[in-house]
Amino acid sequence: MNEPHSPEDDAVIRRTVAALREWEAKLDAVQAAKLASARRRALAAGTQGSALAGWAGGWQGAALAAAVLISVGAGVWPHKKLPMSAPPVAVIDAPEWLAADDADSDELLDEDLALSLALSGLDEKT
Amino acid sequence: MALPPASLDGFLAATERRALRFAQLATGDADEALDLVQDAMIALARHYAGKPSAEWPALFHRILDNRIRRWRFKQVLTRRWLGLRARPLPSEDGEAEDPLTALPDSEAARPDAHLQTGQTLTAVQAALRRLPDRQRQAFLLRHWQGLSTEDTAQAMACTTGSVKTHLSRAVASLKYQLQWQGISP
Repeated sequence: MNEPHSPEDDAVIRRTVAALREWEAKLDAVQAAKLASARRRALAAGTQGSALAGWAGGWQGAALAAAVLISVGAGVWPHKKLPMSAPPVAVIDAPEWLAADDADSDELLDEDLALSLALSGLDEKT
Repeated sequence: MALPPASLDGFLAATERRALRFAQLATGDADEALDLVQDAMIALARHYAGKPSAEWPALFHRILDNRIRRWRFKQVLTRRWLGLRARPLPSEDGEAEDPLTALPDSEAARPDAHLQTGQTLTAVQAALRRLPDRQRQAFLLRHWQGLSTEDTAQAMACTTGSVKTHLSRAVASLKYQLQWQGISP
C-alpha cells in the first residue's frame, strides 16, 4: 500500500533515495570483501546449526542416547547399593562465564519470541 | 517491490550493502556496523533460514535493529561507567552530533567526483542522521529497502499506522533540512 505524498514530498524521497543508492554503490573493495566473508561465515554457521539439529534429532542421536543410558545403567545399577541416607549436596560456585552465557541465551530467547510474535501478527504494540 | 531471492545466500548478497550502510547511519562506525550486520546474518541463517523467503526481509531488519539497539545500550552503559563524554551517539531525539564526519570519505580524494553530487550526498547523510531513530528506520526500510508498509511494520514491531506517521514526519523533516542546506528537491 502506498502512502499519499505531495509532488514535493515525492521529489524529496527520490532525491534522498538516489543519494543513498550512490552511497551504497561507493562501498570500497575492502568493505565488500569483508561483507562477503561475513555472509559466508553466517551461511556456514547456519548450515552447521541445522546439521547438528538434524543429527541430534535423527537415528544417530537416538542411538547415542540409548548407548549412554545402557552404559550408565550397566555400570551403576547392578553393582552399587542404593545409599540409605541422602547423599551430601555438593555446593559448586557457578563460574562467572556461566551466568554470562545464560544471560545471552535469555536475550536470544527473548529476541526469538519477539520476532515470532511480530511475524505472526500478535505483537501490535507501537 | 521485487520478490526476494529464493536462496538465503542470494537474499543476503542482495541486502548486505544496504544493511551495512543502514547500520553505519545508526552507529557512525563502519567496523561496528560490519560486526552488527554479520551478527544479524548469522542469527537469520541459524534461526530463520527455514522460514518462507518472503519473510526474510522483515526478520533480518528486525534482528539487525535489535542488534543496533543492544549495541547502543552497551555503548551508553560503558560511557556512563567510564564517565566518558567523548564522541556522542546518535540519540532518540536526533540531537546528537554528526558521527559520520569521522568516517573516511573515499570520494573526497577523487578529483573527478562531482561537486554537486558530493554535496547532496553529504547533506542527505546529515539530514538522515538528525532524524529520530524510528523515523530514520521507517524511511530507510520503506523507501530505500523497498519493504511494503506491512513488512516495515513487522520489522519495526509496530502498527502500519505508526509506520505512516513516522514516514510522514521523516519526509517533512528531510524536506526542511535539505531546503535549509540549499538542496532543492
